[in-house]
Amino acid sequence: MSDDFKIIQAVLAGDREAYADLVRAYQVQVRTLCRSFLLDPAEAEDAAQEAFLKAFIALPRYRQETSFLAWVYRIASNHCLDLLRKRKRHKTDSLDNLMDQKGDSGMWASLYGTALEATDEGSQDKEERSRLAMQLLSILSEEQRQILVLRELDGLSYEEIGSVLHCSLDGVKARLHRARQKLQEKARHFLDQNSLIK
Amino acid sequence: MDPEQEWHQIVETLLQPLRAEGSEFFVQNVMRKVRHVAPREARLLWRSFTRWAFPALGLSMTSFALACVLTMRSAPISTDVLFLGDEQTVSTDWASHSLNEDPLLDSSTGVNP
Repeated sequence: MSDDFKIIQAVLAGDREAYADLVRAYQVQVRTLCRSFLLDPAEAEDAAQEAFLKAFIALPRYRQETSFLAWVYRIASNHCLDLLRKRKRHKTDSLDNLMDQKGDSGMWASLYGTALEATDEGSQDKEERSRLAMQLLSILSEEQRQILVLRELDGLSYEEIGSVLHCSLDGVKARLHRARQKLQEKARHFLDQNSLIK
Repeated sequence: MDPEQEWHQIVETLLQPLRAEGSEFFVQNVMRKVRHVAPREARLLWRSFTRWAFPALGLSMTSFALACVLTMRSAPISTDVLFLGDEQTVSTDWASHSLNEDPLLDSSTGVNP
């Protein structure tokens, strides 16, 4: 029996405080996933809290076939998608809006350059780096951002991603490939522009 | 730059900044909500219960009252019913007597066997 399952059984037996261990163990992954969906740190914090709360309420329905992380990921993804549906398309901070305003197709490339510089310099301003990255990632769909975070940041296997997203192994590979390709194309555009300037 | 290196750079620049840091404040916030979830659940249960229980109670009380009123109200007795009721008594009276014991004949003729 896994440690997670032992904790879940303790919670279901009435020890509510034991749930804190699960929250502590998976908060980083869930909060990161919510950030990738909503591209708004404050909103993502609230969404992650709600996701953990929903998971707590639904705990009696949890089955051991999937890991607790995959299960809570799914709850968080659904919750974030609901929020996105409610707010439709939040364009105030998105890159699309900037592009609409300035009509500059090279906007992404120049912002990417700024982000690269900030990374190279080891900038301490994490909030600024995070805000910039969120702006740049808004060119991807929620699903593409989600799959990249699951694979590249959380290091989930294709099978685990498949169980979170409810899709086949081939489906996961194809989606991941498309997401990577889109970002790489944009990054290459920046590199080409830069080499032309030099 | 080879694709592998390029991809690594993209992950460092675009995805790593998304990573949240562990925070005890977050854990405590979730736990505060979890502690309040039981009363909230109970309130929700009560609300969903009252949503159908009160109308159902009202409906059953109304139908009970209606049934009581209908049964207690004296029905208007028509003359037909009265006659029919009498007729049955009369017919049984007639049937109980044989031809020889005709009470009408007895009364009219005054014959008494």
